[in-house]
Amino acid sequence: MIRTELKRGTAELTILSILENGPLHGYEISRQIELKSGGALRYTLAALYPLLYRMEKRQWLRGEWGTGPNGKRRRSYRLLPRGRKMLKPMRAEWADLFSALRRVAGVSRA
Amino acid sequence: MRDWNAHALAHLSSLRVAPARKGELALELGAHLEDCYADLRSRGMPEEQAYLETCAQAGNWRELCDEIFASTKEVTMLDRIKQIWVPAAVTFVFAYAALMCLEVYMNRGYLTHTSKPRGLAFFLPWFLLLPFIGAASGYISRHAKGEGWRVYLAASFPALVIAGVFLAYYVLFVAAGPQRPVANPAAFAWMLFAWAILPGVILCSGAALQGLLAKRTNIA
Repeated sequence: MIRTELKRGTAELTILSILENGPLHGYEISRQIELKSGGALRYTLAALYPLLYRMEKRQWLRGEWGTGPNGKRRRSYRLLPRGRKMLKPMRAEWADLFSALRRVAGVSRA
Repeated sequence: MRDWNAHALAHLSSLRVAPARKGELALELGAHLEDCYADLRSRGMPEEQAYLETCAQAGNWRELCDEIFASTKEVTMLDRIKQIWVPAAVTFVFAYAALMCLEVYMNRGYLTHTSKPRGLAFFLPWFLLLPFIGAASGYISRHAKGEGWRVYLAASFPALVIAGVFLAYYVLFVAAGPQRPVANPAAFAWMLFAWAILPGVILCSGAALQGLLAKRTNIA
């Protein structure tokens, strides 16, 4: 399991990447992240929602209330152009970090 | 059937946000917990274990409340533009456009010294317009959820610009030689008062009045 401090730094990129495929509500976002990371990344409510609200405030995402398949109200998040624009530099930044870590700490050999 | 909405609302009691916003947050977080619980149950987890697992999913509620509160207080660059710079530009343009119109269509007279009382005839119409311009600035800033000093900074922006120009001008003239008439401290202080301080106060009072009226309308 990845430590909380490490996960926190990756959360913005993870959420933006998950929403790249279409709008999802909070639980779906956390479930998709968990499934796609093979259970390595799990976000609690306390980690996920404040970040979603921050990203919404920066106009990277938009949260909209709608009705789910079971007829219940759900707030789903949609990626906005500003958020989509952030993805490329974020991915490049993380790629740089990983390649630096590979060189310095040999992380690929772990 | 567990009421996850009530569960979330009970844990959000310490969160300092408007009740409507708190209700909305409880609805969203409750829905998350409900989905989590239903998902765990559908995967065959016993009821009690699913309940405990769902509660653990929430994490630390105190931390959640603090983080949500902090996220509402975060001011982004876009917020700053909408709350300060847009209303400031509007105030600046309208205040000086009004001044230019008055200068063109009314008897020209600069109020540079107290011994020229006819200068007041020129300023009075401008001073009467400024509260409305300040109120417009206050409305734009508050509409973008601006509050406190941001509203007043935007409203008083033209006065601050002119004060900055005067101060720079004064420093330059003093540096050039104190015998110049504009370097006279009393004349300078009067110009600063008439062109910057008084208009600034009037603009801010317009913004303050708009805030009071908006509050009263909301209460009503």
